[in-house]
Amino acid sequence: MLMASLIIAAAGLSAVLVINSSAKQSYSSEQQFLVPNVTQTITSNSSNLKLTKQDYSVLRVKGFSQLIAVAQTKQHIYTNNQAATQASETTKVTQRRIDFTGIDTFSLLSLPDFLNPVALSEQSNVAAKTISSASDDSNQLIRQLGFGEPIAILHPQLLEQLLGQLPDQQLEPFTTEAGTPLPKFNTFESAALGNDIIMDIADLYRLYPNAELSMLLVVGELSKAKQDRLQESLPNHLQLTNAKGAEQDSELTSSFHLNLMAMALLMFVVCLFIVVNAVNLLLNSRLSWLKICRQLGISRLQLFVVQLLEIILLTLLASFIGVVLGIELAKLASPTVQATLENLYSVEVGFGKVSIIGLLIQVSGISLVGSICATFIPLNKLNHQLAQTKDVPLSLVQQRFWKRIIWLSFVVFAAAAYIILNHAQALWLLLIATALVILSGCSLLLANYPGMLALIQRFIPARFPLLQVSSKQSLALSGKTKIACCAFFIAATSNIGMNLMVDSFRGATVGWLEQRLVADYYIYHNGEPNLSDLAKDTGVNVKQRLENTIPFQGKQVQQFSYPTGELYQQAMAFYDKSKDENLWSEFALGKGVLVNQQFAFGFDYKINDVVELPHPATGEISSYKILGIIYDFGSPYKQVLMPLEMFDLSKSTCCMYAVQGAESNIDLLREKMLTAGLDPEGKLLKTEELLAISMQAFDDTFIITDGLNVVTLLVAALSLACAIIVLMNDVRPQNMLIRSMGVSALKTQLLALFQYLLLCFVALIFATPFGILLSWVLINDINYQAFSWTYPLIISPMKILQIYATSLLVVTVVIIIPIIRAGRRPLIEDIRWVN
Amino acid sequence: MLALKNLQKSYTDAGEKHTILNNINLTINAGDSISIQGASGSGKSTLLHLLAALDKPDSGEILLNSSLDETQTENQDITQFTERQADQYRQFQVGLIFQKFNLIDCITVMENIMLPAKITGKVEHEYIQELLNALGIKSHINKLPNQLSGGEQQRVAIARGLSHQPPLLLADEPTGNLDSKNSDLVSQLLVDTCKQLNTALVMVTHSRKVAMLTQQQWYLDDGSLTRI
Repeated sequence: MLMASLIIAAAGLSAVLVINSSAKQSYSSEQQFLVPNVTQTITSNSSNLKLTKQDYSVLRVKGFSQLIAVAQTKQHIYTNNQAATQASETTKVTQRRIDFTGIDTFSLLSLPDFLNPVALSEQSNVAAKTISSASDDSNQLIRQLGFGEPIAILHPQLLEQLLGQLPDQQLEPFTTEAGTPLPKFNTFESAALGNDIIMDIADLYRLYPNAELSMLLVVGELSKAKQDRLQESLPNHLQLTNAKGAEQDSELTSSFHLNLMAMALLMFVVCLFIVVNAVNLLLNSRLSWLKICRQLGISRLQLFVVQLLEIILLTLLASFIGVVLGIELAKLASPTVQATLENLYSVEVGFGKVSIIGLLIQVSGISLVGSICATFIPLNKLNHQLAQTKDVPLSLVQQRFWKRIIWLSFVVFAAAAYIILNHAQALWLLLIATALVILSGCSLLLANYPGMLALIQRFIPARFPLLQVSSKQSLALSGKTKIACCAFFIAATSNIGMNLMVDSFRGATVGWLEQRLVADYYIYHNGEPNLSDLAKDTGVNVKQRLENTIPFQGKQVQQFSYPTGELYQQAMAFYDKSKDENLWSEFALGKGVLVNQQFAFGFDYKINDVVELPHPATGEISSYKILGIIYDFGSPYKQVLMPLEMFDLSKSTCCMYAVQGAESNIDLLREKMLTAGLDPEGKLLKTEELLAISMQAFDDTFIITDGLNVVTLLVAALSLACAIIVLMNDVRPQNMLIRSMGVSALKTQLLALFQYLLLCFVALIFATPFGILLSWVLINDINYQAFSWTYPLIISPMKILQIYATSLLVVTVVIIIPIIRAGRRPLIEDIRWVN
Repeated sequence: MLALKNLQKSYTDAGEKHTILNNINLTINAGDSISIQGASGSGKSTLLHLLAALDKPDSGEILLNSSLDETQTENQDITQFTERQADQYRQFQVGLIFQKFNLIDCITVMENIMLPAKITGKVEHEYIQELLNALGIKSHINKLPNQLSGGEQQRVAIARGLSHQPPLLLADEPTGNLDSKNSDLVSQLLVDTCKQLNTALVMVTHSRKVAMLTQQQWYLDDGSLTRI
């Protein structure tokens, strides 16, 4: 039990550290564009005119040899279907599209940095040993692509995932949908790879002729003169920008790290509760031997040190096993984590390199500190037992003293949480406040357990004497299972808090999407032809969403268009809005703007505040009043909405169209799209489909949260089971006595179950208000600071009852085993043991 | 009331068979007080466990007189009882007293005493008062067990063993944990109360002095039961 709890704690912690490290490396590698030393990028600033091969060749002919083309496409991977009769039939291997990136390696290798190719091993593990920095990684990566036969490079874990999705016994190579074999896969262990498959640009175009140039990278520093010349040489539809700043991503990374770390620590702490009980159990079973050792003259200190050393050794061993399991767990969880991060932050996350030694040192250190702390209580108890100090019950004065201390700690924890929540803004401080809220709940529970159990006893009718006795025994047990009950309380509070938060978020998102998505269809299309023009003769009403990226207070902000018609006015979901009745007319006249929560909270703006923003068409800076703050769940970007009429199509990009019309007219639009070479499939989405896709993404995002919830509850129940095993010996004489009175073994087992479930039920009653409070803190403080959005808290009694049922069921499943074992023991054995 | 016929019980230790009860025959009538003495490991407690249907013999019978169980028309062999029947037998026919008093700490003295009576549904307040008076524990009924001395706790255990008016009280070393003064007092009270309530008492004891208080004294040695 001790080893199991230590291994679970170490494995959970290691998995989170590995995931954190991978995410961190992926974020930082995103800023490197896979190619080292990228200082600037050239991209298209228009939806109509894209970056073309011709633009690239013209610029290179003009002497800009530091420009490197990058093409990208998202595609599924296929394999030849052996079962099919026709050789050309393929089977889809991937669940979601993979990013294929083509780099013009020929041009890149002609740059001075790449003139000295190094012989590379194709084996990822050998390569990994020789690489010490992200820059070296990328150099080697490019060199692999530039020499020899065509190859595609990907992270070994991505290859492992792809191989894992192949049908059984499948040995055929991976192909495109048309059956063209992909180049030979070489694995390369580098976080810079992310979730991408990298190949030479020529190979990419051979496989996917429709792939588009996404950007030109400027490798190395350009002189001022050369930079000016490049700026002048750029056609109107291209823009030169500095390499992406790290600010936003690093913000996201830290909030992600903090959230994951908080959850892992919660699990770790609950595991330590098990350690306390497991050590108790271990020492209890050894007590008679230890007493003999004392009689033989071995000092208490020696016994104490030996026990502690054993626990330290067990912790180190468990840490090692936990780290190995944690790495495997992280690999298993990586697809879900990737999906979560991509949904939550719109960032591609790949696989990081992990130093096992570093991880082992980190996990062992934390585990050692934790287990030594957790061992202190049982060892101290053992010390008293070996000293043969009589276990004197607390006097009334002492009882009152401890009760006051518990009440005082409740007041101190609650006050500290209140102060932090009202005055602090740092995320780590808010997480500490969350912990303080839970601790204050623990104190309140401990202070009120006896009173609450006594109250429940009053409602048990006199005709159930055994139930009355059991409920009184629960009261006595509550004093001996304080730690386990607190662990259960923490798990239950977190469970209620997280579930209510997710439920509220789900409710808010559904409500928000249903309100916002008023059109019949939505089209996701970027570039030519413009669908508004295409839809002119079809009788379909098309509203496009135009967008610009504008600088605001040193950060990038999205400037979006919003239609001003009645339908779209009603579709807007406000978090807060101006009391002014003329809100929409002021908006339509361009006097005011709507901003999302991310903008308002991030820059600390309120309704009717004035902001200085560039005009979407002219770029002229003007003052605009904030007329409304809108919900915009799931987006990491700060956003300003302005009337569609203020935008100029030639200066803004358009990625989305809202479409309204009769089905027959929509069919006409479909035909026109097909004629124009646009495949409506995948681009033209019915509103219901879009809603379903969005909610699927939402549910995928919270899989991790749900998983951690169940694990935490299970760990808490295990902690309770440990405590019960320890207590089984304490309650054995009383159970023996009741059975000797002719009460059946089954009844005795049910009574024992009733006792523990009663304790859990009381803990759940106390956990409910604290869970609701926790949910409120998560929504209004943690979400506010971490994601810059909040939403109304929805308290669903059904959800709470469901959590009650789940929690009690989990506890029953876990504790039923020791209870049944005790109940199946013949009564005669108990009588002999007791007497 | 109970008739033990040719009772045999043995156990195997390290492949060697040890007979601890060999051809035991004994009749216990209502109101009898019987003490069983013997050396440690002689099988005294095993015999008591057989009488309480807690254990089963290798062979032999323990016949329960039908007059004690109104639902039965003929004598029953308690060694053939199912677990449920054994539970019922202990609930209604037997009271048990242990060397360690085994009182439930979290309930009061009165609640401890009333527990078997409440379980069987045979709560007679006058009888309980009589019992409390006989054992001299009336003033302690609202106390918790850990507030009582050893002798007082064993007196509470006796009251508990008798509260549901069982025809048979089985006591396993009831004075083993008491000093000599308390031992004399408690054993005298035990025998007197059983006599007063016409309850049969079978008491296992090491103490000759305690054994002398009962009507019949038996000695168990080498598997055989001999009346002294």
